[in-house]
Amino acid sequence: MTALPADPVLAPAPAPVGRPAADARPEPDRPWRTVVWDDPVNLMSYVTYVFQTHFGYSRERAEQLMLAVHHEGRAVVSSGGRERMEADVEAMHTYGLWATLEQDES
Amino acid sequence: MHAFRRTRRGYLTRLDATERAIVGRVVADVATLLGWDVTEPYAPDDAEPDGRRGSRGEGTSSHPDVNLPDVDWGAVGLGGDEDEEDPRAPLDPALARLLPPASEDDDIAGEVRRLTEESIRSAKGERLRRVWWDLQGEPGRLLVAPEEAMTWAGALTDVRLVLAQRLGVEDAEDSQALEQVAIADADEATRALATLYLALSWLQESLVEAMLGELPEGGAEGLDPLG
Repeated sequence: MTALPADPVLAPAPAPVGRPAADARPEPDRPWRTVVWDDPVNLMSYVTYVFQTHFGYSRERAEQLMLAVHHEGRAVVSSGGRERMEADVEAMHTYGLWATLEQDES
Repeated sequence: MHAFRRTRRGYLTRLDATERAIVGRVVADVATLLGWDVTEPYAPDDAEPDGRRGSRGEGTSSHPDVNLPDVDWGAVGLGGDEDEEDPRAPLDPALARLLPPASEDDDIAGEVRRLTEESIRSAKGERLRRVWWDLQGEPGRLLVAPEEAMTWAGALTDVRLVLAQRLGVEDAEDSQALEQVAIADADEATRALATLYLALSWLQESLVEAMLGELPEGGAEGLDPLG
């Protein structure tokens, strides 16, 4: 099961820093989330351990999320403000997991 | 190579001289890829890896598949090139796997990379350095203190990520085929890399299973980031 992050074909044109695009919705209304992607290397036990220790999830919850990553190719593992999600993604990368942050669509 | 098991003082395995040399070699190679020199000694005031950690005694291998071929690991070459001028993703695909983009949006990925890449590199490099020094102990017993277990698990992950990339493992099917590759691939270096990958996967699995055994089943109340 390969689940590399897809090419950002539909990524919108970059807005100038500090100047929101005309149609951008207010940031606070659209929380961010951390997504972990499946990969063929990381052990299921290790992913479970990371989810349990980094996020403070129960074993059951950590295993559910690990299995969601494994079977669905990706899973949202946390959500909140952008800075916190950046910190979560950084932590996941430090652990060797494949993670990205994204903003809620709705 | 022995499976890790939990003891009163930490996680215990056995690695003979050859195993230490081979694992140390790939650990150093992966650190080099990250721009890190594992051989740099610790300052006297640092929490120095315990030199007495490795004690005497040769263990016979308990893992039937670990019979690492005697190949020229320098020629196998885990190292790669990186374009230092390129502020974007690393060019070397193995390094790119260690330092992946943080977003599918190139601009966000670039921003986050500028903010976090150095600290991720340092964390990984330092982890590999610590493991490399642990491997310099005498052949035989190797005890990983509980507070260092994640250092080992994380470093083994990074080494396996690089080995997998060098072996062209892109999906679960490739991964499952590795046992066959280790036995039957026409290329000796490829057989050696696949054998090493499988051995390290097995070693890491034994460590992480023991670590999971030490964790409480419950979560941290009120700290659930998904609310």
